[in-house]
Amino acid sequence: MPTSSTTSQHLPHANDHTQSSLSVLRHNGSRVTIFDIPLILDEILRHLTIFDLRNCQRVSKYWNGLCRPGIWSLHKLVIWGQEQQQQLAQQEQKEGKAPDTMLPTQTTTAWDLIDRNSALRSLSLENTELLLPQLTASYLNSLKQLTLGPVPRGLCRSLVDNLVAFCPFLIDLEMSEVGLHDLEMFRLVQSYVGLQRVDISIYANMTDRVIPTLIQASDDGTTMSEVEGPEEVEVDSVG
Amino acid sequence: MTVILVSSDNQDFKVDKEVAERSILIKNMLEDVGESDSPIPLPNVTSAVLTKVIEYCEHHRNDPVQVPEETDDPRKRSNDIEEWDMKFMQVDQEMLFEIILAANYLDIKPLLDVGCKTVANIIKGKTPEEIRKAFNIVNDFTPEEEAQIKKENEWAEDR
Repeated sequence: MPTSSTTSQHLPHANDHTQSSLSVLRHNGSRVTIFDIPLILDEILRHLTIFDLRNCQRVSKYWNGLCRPGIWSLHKLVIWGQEQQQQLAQQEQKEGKAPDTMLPTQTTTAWDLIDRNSALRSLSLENTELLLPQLTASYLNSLKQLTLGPVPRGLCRSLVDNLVAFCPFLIDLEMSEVGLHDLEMFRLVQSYVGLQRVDISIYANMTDRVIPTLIQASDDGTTMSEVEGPEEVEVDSVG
Repeated sequence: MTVILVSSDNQDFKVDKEVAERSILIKNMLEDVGESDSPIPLPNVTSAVLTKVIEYCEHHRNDPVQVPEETDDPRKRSNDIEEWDMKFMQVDQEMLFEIILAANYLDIKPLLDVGCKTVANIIKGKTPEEIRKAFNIVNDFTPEEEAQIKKENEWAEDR
């Protein structure tokens, strides 16, 4: 259905831009521009990158208001497993906090949000296996920080391929329970020019040479400044 | 079968029903009214804009119903405007905005989409000052407010 244009009550300074020659006279005598109609704006803004949205925010107070809700507010999203979610929800309820967490059963909503939020910068997938297919379908070019829960060994290779292809600007990667092999880890580190931190605390498939070599790789071509290695290296797992 | 559409400046447009029904608003009206020769008033659309909208609907009269592309990346989609549509949208900005508003009012989703993509393409790559200039917007931030927003968005700065 067509959208109502009576939106000024929701938007700050909604009339400021009517000074623009681009407003259109309606039959009832009111003037309206495309910027008065949230669904039109949403449709326009969803085609923009995070850098364009940043510039839009700095245009005027009115545009700053337009670009904020729902686009810039969701910088961080955590999708937990069901058990942790319930615990966390209870805790948040006690503390009166607005939740930024979602159940795996709400993943359709979650991924719709992610897909529509070009500015999402931090994503935590505790229930990784359920969500990997979606991760591969969304080009998350604003994502800077990604935390992954356990990933089955059989999915590790495609995980690396997908991360490199769909999340190209990560600077912080936490995958403490992802059992990559050395070559997969090297590929990750070498693919991310801007990677600054990678947490591989439980790295069951690593060899004893991996951390010095990763640091060497980072010295050679990347800016990675920190590798959090395993607390207990399992030497038995070497080749 | 044809229907008669009446623009806000009282001009009649005789259009094939199939073409007129690209507008969901008109389609629903025709379904509600049933067989009737009564003209359909469109008080929010001028004759100049209605001419353009009809041109679009004529060209796309045989297009299948649009299916939402749920998994596609919207940032990529703004580059996929068909050549004909791109030429169709090469109008002055006032007309572009009028077409978008008409598409919204008449509920013609594909036309609304292509209009919004066109506006997004105007915004893309522009500095705040260039966007202001493009849409005739006055900067009402104080220097302090502007600095604050810039600071808040530092994480999104180009690396």
